[in-house]
Amino acid sequence: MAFLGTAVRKVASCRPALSPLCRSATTSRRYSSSSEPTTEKSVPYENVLKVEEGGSGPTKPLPKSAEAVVIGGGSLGCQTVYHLAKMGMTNVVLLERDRLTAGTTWHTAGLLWQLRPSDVEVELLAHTRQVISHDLEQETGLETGWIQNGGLFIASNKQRLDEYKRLMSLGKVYGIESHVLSPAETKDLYPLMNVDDLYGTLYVPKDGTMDPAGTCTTLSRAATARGATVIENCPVTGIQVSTDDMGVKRVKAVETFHGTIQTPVVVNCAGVWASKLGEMAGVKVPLIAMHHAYVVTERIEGIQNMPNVRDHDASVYLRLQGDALSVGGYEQNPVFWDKVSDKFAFSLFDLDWDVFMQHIEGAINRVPALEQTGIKSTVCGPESFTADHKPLMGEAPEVRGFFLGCGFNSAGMMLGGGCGRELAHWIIHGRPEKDMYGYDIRRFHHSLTDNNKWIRERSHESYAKNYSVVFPFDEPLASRNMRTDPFHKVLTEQGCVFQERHGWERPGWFNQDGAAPVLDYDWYGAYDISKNQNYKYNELLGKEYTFDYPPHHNVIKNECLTCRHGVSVFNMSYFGKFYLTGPDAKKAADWLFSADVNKIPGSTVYTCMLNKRGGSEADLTVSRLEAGTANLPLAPESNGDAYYLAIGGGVAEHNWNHIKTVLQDEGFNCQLTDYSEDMGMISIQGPKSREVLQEILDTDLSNDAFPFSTHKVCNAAGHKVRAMRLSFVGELGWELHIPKDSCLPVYQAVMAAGAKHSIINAGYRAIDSLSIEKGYRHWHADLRPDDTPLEAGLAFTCKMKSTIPFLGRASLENQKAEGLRRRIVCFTIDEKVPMFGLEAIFRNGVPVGHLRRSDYGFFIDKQIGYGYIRNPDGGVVNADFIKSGKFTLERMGVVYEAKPHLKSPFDPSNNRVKGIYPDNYHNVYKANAQ
Amino acid sequence: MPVTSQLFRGFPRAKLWGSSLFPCQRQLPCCPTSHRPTLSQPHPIWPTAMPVRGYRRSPDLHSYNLTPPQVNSILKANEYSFKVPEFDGKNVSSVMGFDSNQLPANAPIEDRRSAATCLQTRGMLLGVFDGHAGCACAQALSERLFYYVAMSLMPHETLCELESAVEAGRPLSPILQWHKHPNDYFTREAQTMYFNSLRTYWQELIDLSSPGESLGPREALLSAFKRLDSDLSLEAQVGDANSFLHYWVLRVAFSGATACIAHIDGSDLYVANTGDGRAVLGVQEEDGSFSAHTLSNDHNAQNENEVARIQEEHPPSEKKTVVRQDRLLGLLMPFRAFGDVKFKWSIDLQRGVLESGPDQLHDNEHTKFIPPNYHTPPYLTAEPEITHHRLRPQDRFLVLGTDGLWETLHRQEVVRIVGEYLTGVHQRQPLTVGGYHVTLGQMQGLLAERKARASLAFQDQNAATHLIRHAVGNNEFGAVDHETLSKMLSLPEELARMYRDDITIIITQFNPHVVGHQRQGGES
Repeated sequence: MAFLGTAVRKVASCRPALSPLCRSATTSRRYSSSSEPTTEKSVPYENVLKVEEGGSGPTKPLPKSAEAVVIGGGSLGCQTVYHLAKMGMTNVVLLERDRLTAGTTWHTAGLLWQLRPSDVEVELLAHTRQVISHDLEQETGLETGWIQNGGLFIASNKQRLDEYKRLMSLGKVYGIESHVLSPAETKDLYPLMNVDDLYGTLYVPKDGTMDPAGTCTTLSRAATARGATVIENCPVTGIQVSTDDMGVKRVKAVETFHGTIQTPVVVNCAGVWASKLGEMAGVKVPLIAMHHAYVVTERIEGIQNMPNVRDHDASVYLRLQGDALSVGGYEQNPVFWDKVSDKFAFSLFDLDWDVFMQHIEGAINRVPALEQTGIKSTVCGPESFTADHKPLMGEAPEVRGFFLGCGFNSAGMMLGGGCGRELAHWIIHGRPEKDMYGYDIRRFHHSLTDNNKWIRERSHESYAKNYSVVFPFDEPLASRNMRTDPFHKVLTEQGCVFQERHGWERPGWFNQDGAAPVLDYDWYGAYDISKNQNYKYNELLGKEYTFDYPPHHNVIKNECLTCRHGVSVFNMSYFGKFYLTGPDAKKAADWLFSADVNKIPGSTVYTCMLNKRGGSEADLTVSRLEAGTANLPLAPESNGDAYYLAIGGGVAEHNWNHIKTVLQDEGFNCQLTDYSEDMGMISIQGPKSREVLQEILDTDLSNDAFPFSTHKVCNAAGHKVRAMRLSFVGELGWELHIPKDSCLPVYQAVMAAGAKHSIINAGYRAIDSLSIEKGYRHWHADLRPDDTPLEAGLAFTCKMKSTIPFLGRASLENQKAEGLRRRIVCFTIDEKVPMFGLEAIFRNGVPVGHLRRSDYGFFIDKQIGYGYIRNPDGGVVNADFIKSGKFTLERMGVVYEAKPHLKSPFDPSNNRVKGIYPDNYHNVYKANAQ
Repeated sequence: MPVTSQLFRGFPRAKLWGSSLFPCQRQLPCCPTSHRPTLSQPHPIWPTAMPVRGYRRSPDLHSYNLTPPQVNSILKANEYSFKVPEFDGKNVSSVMGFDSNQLPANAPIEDRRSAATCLQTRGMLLGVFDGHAGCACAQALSERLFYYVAMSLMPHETLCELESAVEAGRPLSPILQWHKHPNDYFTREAQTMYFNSLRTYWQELIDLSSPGESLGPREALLSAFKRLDSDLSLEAQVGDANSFLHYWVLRVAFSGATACIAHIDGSDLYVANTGDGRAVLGVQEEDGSFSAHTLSNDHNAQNENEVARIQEEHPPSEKKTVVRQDRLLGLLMPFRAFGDVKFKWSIDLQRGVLESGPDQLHDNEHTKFIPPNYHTPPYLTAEPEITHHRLRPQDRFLVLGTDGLWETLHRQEVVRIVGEYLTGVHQRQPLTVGGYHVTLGQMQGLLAERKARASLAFQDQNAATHLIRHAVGNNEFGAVDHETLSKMLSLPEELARMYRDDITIIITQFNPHVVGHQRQGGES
């Protein structure tokens, strides 16, 4: 009996005693929060630059004028002002509203990883590391707080490990040491880690951790030492913008409570407040603030000196914090900060534990000791996020002299050094040194940058997918169908799987079993929004989440080979379609374009546009229009010096702004007008294209009457169109530029005429393959602003033999005289393995570069890759250097022998575009005709 | 005697002073006539079934795993909801409705509940009754107490009308509109006797009052409680010619029950409490959170005033014996109760009544048992403590519960759970770690529970069911988990009482648009 009583008592007593602390925790949230100790919210840093007494007024007197005013004393502002001073622009001012780092930098986790799936980013990160771990200490004698504890990426599946191996191969090109470790080796390195569910890890010994306060203080000291002025406690109240006689808006001055600084250049490094600052100048800054959080733990025995961990599959990072860890991550349902407050210096939010919950599980799984580890504090602060999780940089399209350096997606510390330098270069020299197009505000079409739905949805998706494997053919699901062309509906019905570029929906490939339309964004089911069910488009995307050939490789193959052997039609309506007209149009065309576009009216020329340093800012076709009256949208009024510019649709905004900027800088009196959305464009390509088109066009398509590289306005099935004999795939073919309303009837006529030739629709996946096979460049892939046309094998686009001056000519001449130090080379490999770019190129075992772009060439039946190679000795890269080397490509740690080609392996004599096909084609044609 | 004390000490959670005093639980259905499907299989009294040792050793009892639907069907078996009818979409009553439920631990359950609307006077009556030493007393209370209250509240004229109608053989206008669950018991055989006792009471009320008079709610409640307990005692002493009824009235008087009832009329809320049931008001603060406002005092050893009262009522020589081991005379946990004549009658009266009683009583050894140190009866009273509260708009609901609820959940937690349930706020309230040392693992458990809670609330259509789910299913993190629920609900009958008591809950929701806006005494 007594025993029974004990048993009962035991049961009874254990229930109310159930973890009183947790009960209190649950109840405390509802009652009189003031009586409870407030949540510990603090960053894990010893040193924060907050000053309690908060001096009123600026820390230094404001100068009357400056060459540039950087606004925002966070990572980017400090790095930019430091690099500006270092590059010699010393009359620069940094204005900080509160104290340095007060906005978001002070609470950043400060991780630095060196390897990212982008060559430019690897270079930017390397520079940040160089500045923080070396340069600053040398210049100032101060330590920035850099700790080189290494970085460890976790792979819990094969694809993830493949991605890491890809990074490892790229790292070799840049001399970044990295090791792929087995689970057992990982355990040896990090004994507290659970490795049971690991596939492998990537260990980068020289990754590390930055200290935000230490870094920014040191940067500001170094900048000040070089003559820059750093002023704290000085909020900006306005930006003066003036409009010059050409109607161009330019930055004039920065206003504060304490005076006005005259300046031609303002740099917006205001972080989550950047949109507000932009508004002061009428500049759209498409970023959104979200809560981003991490939790600092109590001491963990044995964690000292462990590398930082990034567990992509669990979307969690573990940052070493002395003898403890900070745990953070990217969740599916981040909290938006809609009411961005001006008074938020050194402030944090209450952590929303329900949102954070998903990270705890991942963290405990990875380091089981965390389960028993106490929570020391929480850090939940605002960070700015953008539509593609890439920063916003460069000169704003709206106002000259207004530069952006914001929207860093919680990577502002990590990218700060590299981006600060590029931004400084941009400001001083007009363009950055590296290819910064991926960060350039011009990568977004201007119709999107103030579309709040687009910013919000796309930012959410990018945030939630931040740790997802970066697959080469992935597409966003958020805010699609922003810009659709007249063919969109009919192609959707035919199974078109669209890609998103610049807001446009462009055809990717054609699914053979039914339509796969893009649906409204379902937020991946977050925020209790119901997920799209049976989402075929999403399923098709999912099938491409592989580093092997996709399951529809054969579908793309058919699209390609039909074009090579028969005829395919490509909808390229998303192209940018501009007219350059006006009194100075000819002068402007001579200066803007590297090629001589002033052939006879009716000619079409493929050309580059260069920057001062000879780098390729764009490639496009320019058609000189016949004189005549306006017949818009097909033709503007022309005196014979009017030009029609057709530009890849994904880079239209960039081209537009490049041209505008040059026109303004040179003072040319001409107009640039945009008819992109008023005309559609289809391109009919292949040996049989002439037979098909001859049926519907009222003009002679023979080689003599309509030679390659010419254009004409003619009738197609009763509708006026501009036909242009061009090819992006290396075949006989014509582009039809068609006024919007005529698009569908013309398309239907083409398809009807093509039916007996088995014409098919084809998409950009086929164009990618066909164009690389032919050896045509893709801008921002194998042709970038850091590549000159000479290096890119596009010397034929440069009018060097003429005496006509053009932008970049001087640099090209220098380069030509000195010889090329780097040069594009085509490689083919015999093995059937897919490559995507970033694979390392070795010459005689020494890394000499990496692939920029790779695709499968179905006609030659080989994997093709293009990459720039350098001479490891710094010498000239000429034909001999290429011919004499033994080349290999490293893909995910595996080495493949590669054959270099000085000329395209496909149709090197360029016959096909001229309509010259081997006899058997002709015979086939004849047979069909009979 | 020493054996008996030992036995009592062994059951700290059982408040009865001899569950086997009357063998009725296993030999007879609880009530003479039951409209409920009776638990007719033999119920072994649990001291003879001792699988506790086995339980402790192997937690894998065969019946552990209930599916969520099984759990739900157990939890929902006795749930009941009443919504006050609206007129033209407007609810002019201060009560919007109530949810009630009960979960048995005893077999059969010894708790009872009642709810009724007064038809001859204003207001609504709600009550929970916790029986001990059988269910008979609680059963009688559940059927009779509200009539006594209603009578006490009636003005002189209404009582006279009633009396003349009975006299003339005219049909009576109904006095109460009951809100009963189909499973609620009803003792048909005793109705005539009950009616006669009630009629005697109202006749006295008529005699004692003059035209134009009625008792105020406080006096009415007090009078009703005392009168009913006195009637229970008298009926047992008088007995009945019908041996079955005679046995029944003795069972009622020798068993006991606590009562916690509320009378709500407009903004006036009266709580009358006898024993350790409890009435707690859920008050919504300006920040949306809920706090508990208790409207009753527990009558047990934890209440110093009660201990002092009892000690004062008896000679100093009994000071040490009158309350022992936190029990009245070392036996009874509640310090006030209906019935329990073993604590009220003199020894001679007890012996006399038992000797003249039906044969069934003589078979049981325990019937002759007299509490130890029984010198100056009565030791026990049914007199209630009465609390008046004027409802304010922030008073959102009233929880009436038997001690089975209050010993598993703190009143603050009860009010939070109900408040969150009723307002539909479950997950979005931010969670903070207010200065406590919490590990990541604990945090994870806590968050998982919060997430689960939202879906649980969705399962329950009845606030009382939701509360029982928490009372029974809370795990070590104060969170409902299915495993705990499944274990607690699948305990064999003979074990269940060791882990939990009967739980009975009535949650009354107030209409914030009505309360606080009424003129005092105005028509509702």
